[in-house]
Amino acid sequence: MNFERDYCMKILVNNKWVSPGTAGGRPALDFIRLELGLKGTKEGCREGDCGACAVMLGELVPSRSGVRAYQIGSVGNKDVEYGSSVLGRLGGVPRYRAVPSCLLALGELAGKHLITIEGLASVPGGLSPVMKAFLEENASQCGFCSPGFIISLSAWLAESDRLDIEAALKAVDGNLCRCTGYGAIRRAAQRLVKEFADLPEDRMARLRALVERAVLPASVLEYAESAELLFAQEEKPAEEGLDEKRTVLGGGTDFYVRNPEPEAGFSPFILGTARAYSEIARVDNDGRHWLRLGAALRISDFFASKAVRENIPGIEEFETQFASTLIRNLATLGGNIVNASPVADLSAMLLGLGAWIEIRSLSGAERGLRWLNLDAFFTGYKQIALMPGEIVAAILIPTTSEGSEFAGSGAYDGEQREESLSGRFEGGIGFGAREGRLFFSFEKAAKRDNLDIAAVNTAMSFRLDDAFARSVRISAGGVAEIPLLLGRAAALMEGSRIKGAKAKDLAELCRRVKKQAEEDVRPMDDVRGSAAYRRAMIGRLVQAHFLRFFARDGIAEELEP
Amino acid sequence: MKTIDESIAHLRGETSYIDDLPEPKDCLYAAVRLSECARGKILSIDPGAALALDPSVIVLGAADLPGENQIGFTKPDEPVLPEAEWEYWGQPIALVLAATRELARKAAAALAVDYQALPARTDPRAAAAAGDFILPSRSIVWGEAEKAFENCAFVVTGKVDSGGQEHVYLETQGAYAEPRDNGTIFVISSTQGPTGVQQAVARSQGLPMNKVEVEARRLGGAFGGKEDQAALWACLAALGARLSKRPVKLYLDRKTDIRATGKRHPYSSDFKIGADKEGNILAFEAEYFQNSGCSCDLSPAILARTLLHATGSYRVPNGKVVGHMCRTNLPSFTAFRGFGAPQAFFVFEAALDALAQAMKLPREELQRKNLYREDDSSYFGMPMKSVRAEEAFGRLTEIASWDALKAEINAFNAAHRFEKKGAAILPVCFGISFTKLPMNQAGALVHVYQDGSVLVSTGAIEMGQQVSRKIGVVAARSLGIPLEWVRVERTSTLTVANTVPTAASTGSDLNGMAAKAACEEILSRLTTKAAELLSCPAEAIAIRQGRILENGKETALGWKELVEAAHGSRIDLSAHGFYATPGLFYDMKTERGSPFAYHVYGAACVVVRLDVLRARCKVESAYIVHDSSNSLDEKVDLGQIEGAFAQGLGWTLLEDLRFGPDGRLLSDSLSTYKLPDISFVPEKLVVDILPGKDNPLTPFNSKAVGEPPLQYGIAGYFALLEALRAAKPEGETRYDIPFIPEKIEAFLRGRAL
Repeated sequence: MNFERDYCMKILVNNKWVSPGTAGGRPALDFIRLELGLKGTKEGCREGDCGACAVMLGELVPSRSGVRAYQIGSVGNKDVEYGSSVLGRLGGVPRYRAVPSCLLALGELAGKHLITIEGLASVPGGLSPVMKAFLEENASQCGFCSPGFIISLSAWLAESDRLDIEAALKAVDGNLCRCTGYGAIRRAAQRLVKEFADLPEDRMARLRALVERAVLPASVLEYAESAELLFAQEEKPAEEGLDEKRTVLGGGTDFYVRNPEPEAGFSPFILGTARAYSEIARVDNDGRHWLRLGAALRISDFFASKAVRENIPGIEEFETQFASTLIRNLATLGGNIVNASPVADLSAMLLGLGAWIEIRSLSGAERGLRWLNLDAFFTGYKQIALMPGEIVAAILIPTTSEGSEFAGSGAYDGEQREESLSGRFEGGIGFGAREGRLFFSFEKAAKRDNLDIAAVNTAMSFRLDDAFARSVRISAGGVAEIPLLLGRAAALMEGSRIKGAKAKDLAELCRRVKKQAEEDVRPMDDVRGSAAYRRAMIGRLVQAHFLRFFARDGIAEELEP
Repeated sequence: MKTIDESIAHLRGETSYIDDLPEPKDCLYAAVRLSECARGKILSIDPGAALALDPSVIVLGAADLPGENQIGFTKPDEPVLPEAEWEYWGQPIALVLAATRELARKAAAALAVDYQALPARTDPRAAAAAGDFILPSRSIVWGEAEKAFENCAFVVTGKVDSGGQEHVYLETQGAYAEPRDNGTIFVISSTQGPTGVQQAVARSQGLPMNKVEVEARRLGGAFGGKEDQAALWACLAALGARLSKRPVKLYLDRKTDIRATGKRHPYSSDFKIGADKEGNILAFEAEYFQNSGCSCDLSPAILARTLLHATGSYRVPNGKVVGHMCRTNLPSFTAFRGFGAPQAFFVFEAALDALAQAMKLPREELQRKNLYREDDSSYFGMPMKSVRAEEAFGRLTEIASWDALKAEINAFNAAHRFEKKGAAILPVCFGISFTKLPMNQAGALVHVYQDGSVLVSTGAIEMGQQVSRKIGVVAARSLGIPLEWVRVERTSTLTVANTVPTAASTGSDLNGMAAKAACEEILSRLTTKAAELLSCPAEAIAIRQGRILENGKETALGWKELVEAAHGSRIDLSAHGFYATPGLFYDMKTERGSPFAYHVYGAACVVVRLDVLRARCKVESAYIVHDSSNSLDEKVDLGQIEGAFAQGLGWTLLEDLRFGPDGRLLSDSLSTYKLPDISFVPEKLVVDILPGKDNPLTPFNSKAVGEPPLQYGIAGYFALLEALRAAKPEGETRYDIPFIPEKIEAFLRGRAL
């Protein structure tokens, strides 16, 4: 337990700084309801599936200037993008997002601004424009879900770069209304789209406008300037207390589902607050071969990252298939992988992209790094190749053919050191890269489009090298005890001529890959689907990959639905 | 506006549900231990490890109940806690109290339960084969079905299955109980029926009802799930409070709630339907195997509604419908919006679909041809009056541009191989009144305070249907004052006694009429006083918007002055109102009668887009024509129509309540049990309200709205079926909802599940 952090941390709750007299691993929901007595935040399911407990979380995003560049060996840093978890020591602009408080560790809140529905109701006049829109449309029936919806839509106004109806509805994709007033909620959202079309893009200017227009309380403006914040930042970093017995928490979005009421005094090591490793929550682009994604990067930051979008064309299209906005704002890349669910959407995506894992040892004398192909990371059902005292520090995604080939080699040397990874680029594969265009696709079968765990999922990627498909990768989740790479299916396509190929030949290739994929999986029956269904769906979804890739090549006409 | 207060408070997060109420310092928290197999003989429950956790821990069992260990009122088959055997997986078997919620739950988990697993049954048809019924089966026979089938040009038979549905009221079940003076007990319950809770607590505590006070403020959703099934939790909280002599709060976590409580009844049914060559349906037979679960609960009333909606919106001259309440080792299935009618509608529409397939006719042609018409008689002998079935159907085909829509879909399907669309219509005719006739009564208490403000209390529970707003409208209109002056209070057994649950869509009808009666009583006293003050005959007086009118002309006299003057003259400014729906009768022996006050009509059209490759579908648009008659509040009714439709769509296409063969609920959390989210409901949803008509048995000619629109969701299944047939004409139809993606895949692949 880290006494200092747990007992001295300060949180700005609505308009008051408070020091929780409780452990950092307690779900924020219990702190909010039971200690602060703020009962407007409701408990609906305690697993992030209903959104009734949503709160707004404000945090400082470091400004770009003045941050030390992080380096992987000799590969210099070219571009850095920040997620949000790390306190901006050097100042920054606050950002407000909605998160489910039932899955939020209290320790995450150190130095942050928590806004509950009571905070939003404290605006002048007592009814914010979001509340008014709901009132006008009679969008509150039993009322239990209402605070969560108000929080989600208020955060959308504060955070989203898109102020259209589609984005508004995406903002509430993790809020359930059982009554169900979705029609009225949609109409209320439409009112907001109309009313707030003119919000400034600049984050600080927008916050000012939202305070002025009584969407957000004035404390939003005070937060960034608060002296308390500076005080909070002077605390000792949590990572000093990491030992082998301490639970390491990414976002906590799965941990708290499995442990809804952790023991009193539970004090995890929260990855996102590990300030000494500020790189852990950001995207680094080495400009050559790799994207380095800090393990504490939130899923929503991953999909929003410019570097990620540029290097994995079209990936943002698949964002909403991953859980909900609320969960994406909290869940981390590292947590999603370490959780080792055989059907994790992100694991399927990253496997399909040939990702590597950077592992850091934090305990003992050996504070070294090692790298592991993600495929070798999953060793059994919910089991991973992480040794005691180690954490996943980053995920590396190859951005060129060279990176892909390296990633695809499957080589793993437990003794690897930092320099050897970069050395491989410099010496082994050689520069003067052939820039292969990356094709990427993700497919998922679930009962509901949003916020549903897949029955199966699959990702596929390859690079177009001249006219040929190289570094072909097909992943499949929900079909075995671990997320699988379908090597044999991918091998059928490796080196195939793609450019200028006849539709008939592409269709034939699709059929062969599909058949092989169906043979390669070993699914079982459970509540999300029978083995037969899962096997069939993997085949169908592999075909869906092909249809996405080769739609313009007329492949659809050659294939049966 | 006072009645808007509740909405404002909701939006500001200020409304309190059970778990939000302030707790006294000495409050104890309760948790329950659930059984861990479908049927078990209790050998022992050892509290040792639980008690060792903390001195505050108290463990209570069946033997600790001071009264009768029984809350089953129709049939004594529901113990508060089981004594010798439990009947389903997830049944509460012991109550634990402790100083904190965490401690109580931990202590409940620490109980050592020794049991012997006994053979269990989950399939209703297997229960029927073994003759294991909750109560004797019921049947309605009319005309001469056998003979009629002989004369039919087409006769088809088939099997229909519909799954259960979890309520997922966002506020889980809970109760707070407080011991009070002289051995009385005060309970706040998240219930649709405070009187039922009062009865159950009184019975299990061995107290007369006048020593038990029950209050229900507002519910965070209920949908039928808190009609009968709120009682158990109140009884447990009361037991804890009585024995510990401290306040006790019991609030279930989601998993416990889903595992322990009842849901919509799954049905498995067989049908036989026949028509002449023009498509006139001549005969229909159905046998419903209702999976009732382990105890009686509301199963007989739900079966009655099934049997009374067997032919949907259609007139069928000959037939026989039989219903069985099959006992299984599953949680006792219970009320859920629609209450047995959706299951009946689905069976009949499936039969009609099978007939249409056999006759190679479009479904809608058969539907239209056989709709109820004015002065028809229902198959159980009820004269059908003010029938709007054809009107609603016709209006629907207009607003949906049905012919153009079908042509558009055909063109789309011809042009697309990987996507197909389908559309279907579903007409609704839903009877309003409790099928258990004595329940059609209500009371209200109205106070006019000296300052002119008005307080109304009725048996109507506010659970999101905004019945309090409607009752406020009724009171304001009855008294002739602005709505802002009226406040509708929570329901308490102290203010209105012997209430019936707020259910069967009747909440605003019955309680609104009772409130209206009380208001009219006060109004007549005030009118007399006003006539005296204005020196005119009472007939000349009218009150509008808080002003007193004489022969239609405004006078100097206002509401407040009048009230003050009446109080000064020692006139009673309070009144109790009572209402009992007139004209209802039903003979259970002959199965003939007129059990409903009236019917609600409507029709819906749903359009579905099928992704053939990915084996999934999206509801693209929907059109609804609904008969609200003269709505008391159009926005409230719109919310009810859209909401019920979404729940109905969820039931037919998404919500997958899955039990293992061992009786274990597999979909026991919101991560495995998916319900509609905002993107699941169609973006394009057109709701058209039929112009009002007289409806004298309701306040101001309004109509009940809660349940009828749920049926509209059934159109979603048939729309999907059309799309599936477009994708694979030779596919084998299975009338089996929810029709989840796995079933779509099986249909397209032509494999058995």
